Amino acid sequence: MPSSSITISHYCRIKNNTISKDSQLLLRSEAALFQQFSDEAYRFCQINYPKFHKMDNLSKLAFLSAEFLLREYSLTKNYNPYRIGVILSNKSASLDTDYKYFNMVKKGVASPAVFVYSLPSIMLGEICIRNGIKGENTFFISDTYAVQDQVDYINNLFTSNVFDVCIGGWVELIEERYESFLFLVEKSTNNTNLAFTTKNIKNKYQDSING
Amino acid sequence: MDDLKEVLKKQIVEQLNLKDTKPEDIGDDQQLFVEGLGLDSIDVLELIVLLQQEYGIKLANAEEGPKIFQSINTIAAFIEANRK
Repeated sequence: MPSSSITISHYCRIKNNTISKDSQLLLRSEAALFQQFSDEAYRFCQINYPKFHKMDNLSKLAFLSAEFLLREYSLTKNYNPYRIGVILSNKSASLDTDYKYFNMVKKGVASPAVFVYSLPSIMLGEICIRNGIKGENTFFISDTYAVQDQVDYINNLFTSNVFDVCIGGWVELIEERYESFLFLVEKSTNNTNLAFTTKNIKNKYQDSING
Repeated sequence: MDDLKEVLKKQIVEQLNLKDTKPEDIGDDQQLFVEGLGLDSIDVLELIVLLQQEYGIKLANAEEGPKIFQSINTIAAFIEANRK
């Protein structure tokens, strides 16, 4: 019986009005603002998910990244929902929405719909709800994308038998500056798949930044 | 009353970010929660804020919420009865 190893199945990046998956460009937009770009990306997905329009920009970015990452692939058909993990990180947490909420409160209006997005981990919840994921999910904040730490953490959870598949990556957004890089890692007996190592994730992340 | 209902529909679509719904698509008697428009608990809170901001009505008893927010008709009736 061939031994299984942890491999990178797919990766997706969203940056500078473009969306690509596994180094293939899927969408390039001329939108001037993230709001317009995200609406265009949503329409491109051809899904009917009204809740998308209620999300803050950070959650929209994470949601869209996961939509493209998992396109034509149902995680819960292949895995137990309780054994699917999501481990993400970023630099600015939910500061973009925190500012908006702060400014609303200063004007004497406190919108509950804005308040619920004043935590960065909400974007994990949106991905989990959409994809039926019920396993381990954790969010980290660091000044720059700490790839080594994230790879070690995810590898440790695989080794500890916490999950069989995991979505990992970096989802950063503040005002009009945004960037996401998501990857899907799973146990695989297919030797042609790319091994889940810090070096390979760094390479894919750098390629996506430079691409 | 009819004018109020039309205004309410526009305000609800805008306040709740119902981008896929046009105000004229909402029936006066249509259920707003669960099966109808599919609004959720956060939307209830937004509607409470809307009543406060736009009509100066503070919901004193939260338990009345489900009855008041059943449909455009019930919200309009509540506003008519309590508007300052």
